[in-house]
Amino acid sequence: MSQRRLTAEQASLLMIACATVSLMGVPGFGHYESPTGPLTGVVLGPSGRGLSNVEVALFDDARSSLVELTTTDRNGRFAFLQAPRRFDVFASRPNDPRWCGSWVLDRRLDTTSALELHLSPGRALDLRVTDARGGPLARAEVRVLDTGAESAVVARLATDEDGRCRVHVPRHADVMVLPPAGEPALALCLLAEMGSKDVPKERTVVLPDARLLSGVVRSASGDAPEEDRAGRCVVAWDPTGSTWLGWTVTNEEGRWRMAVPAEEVLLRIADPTGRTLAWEGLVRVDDGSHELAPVLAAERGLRIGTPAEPIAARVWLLDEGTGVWSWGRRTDREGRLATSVPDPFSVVAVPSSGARPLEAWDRAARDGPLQLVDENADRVP
Amino acid sequence: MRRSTALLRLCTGLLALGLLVPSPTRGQETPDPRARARQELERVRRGEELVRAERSAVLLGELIEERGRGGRP
Repeated sequence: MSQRRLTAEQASLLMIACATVSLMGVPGFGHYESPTGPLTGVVLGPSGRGLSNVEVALFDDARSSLVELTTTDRNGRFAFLQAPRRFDVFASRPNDPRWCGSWVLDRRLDTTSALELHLSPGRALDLRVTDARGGPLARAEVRVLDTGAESAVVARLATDEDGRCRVHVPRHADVMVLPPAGEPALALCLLAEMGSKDVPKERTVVLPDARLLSGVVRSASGDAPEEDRAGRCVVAWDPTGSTWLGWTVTNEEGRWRMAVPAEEVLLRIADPTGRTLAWEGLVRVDDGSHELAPVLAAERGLRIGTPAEPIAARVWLLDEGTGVWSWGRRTDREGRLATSVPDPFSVVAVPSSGARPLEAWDRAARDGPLQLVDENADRVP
Repeated sequence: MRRSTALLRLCTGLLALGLLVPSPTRGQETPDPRARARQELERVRRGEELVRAERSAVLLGELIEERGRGGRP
């Protein structure tokens, strides 16, 4: 049997082939398997590359509870074994707080199965929290709100014994500082747009002395009193409407109370269910408990979109009689919403897609179903 | 000069003077009620965003508690 020697070219090719085969056998090289599950996703950094070792938390929306925690792999991918029908997901690096966390909120399994979250390093802010007399406040709660898309709290921290706290804020961010638990004599403070580079890196936050404002929402109808008065959202601004002062919710008896740093506030009581009309007005804190009977209005259907293409949106109605806007409510996926409608009224619908708002002005409630089709709204009989 | 002509000149002069002298309200545009309503809506929307953010704060609080326990759900 004759032996043949390999040429230099053949030997090189054989070596390349062997190297390729051996490298394919090495775990993690050319043999990547993405994590699998009913709910999967990826966490991306600012450059668009997957981020590894990111903690990803899954919450069941119906139970408002944490159901699963996982970590991204080296490609930034993750998978959950569970899949609640409605869910929220939060991604963060708890061991490296320079990275700002990220939410996807209120998603449905029937429309979402693959998720994409974005993390980015935040800008450091050193806060010193004091009371009105300059005394440092320990254990004051500091919340970072990402206001880039849908507002969400991405970090919750507490001040140390000297009232100090370092936070990292995304580009579009508010910071809310709440008084320590058990300090009803202090009001919260909201610092708007703290992600700008123009904002100083060190800031003293003074929590002002508070006064207690309280009230009650009375029943509007005898047959379903609790529905009319519980769960109403009460929000306060300064009298000019420029500074947000806080909010609360009415209890089963319709009662509410909140600490405000002013003698007079612009108060707004709105119904997130859309059953009753919103109320707004200036009230003095010294005037005792404020009573309000919500106004019921006829319910009617709205549809946002064209006949061919519905638009899912959040919808606000303006009571042209009082000049007060309703609570913003979401349509269903077909762009439909049933809500109480003042008379006369106007509508603004902000599409979930981020497209320009649709508007209709000076409409009468007795008209037929309203259909918004573009900026100059149209009606169909 | 006839009395009527003098009266006409006086009226014309007063009218011209009235147009020339700046009025405290002249030049101020009547605020557009729709623009004002849109501005009000921005305030309302902003307030609602802050209220809605409370839900994420509650969920985040639960996650922080879970980390504190050192366990996994």
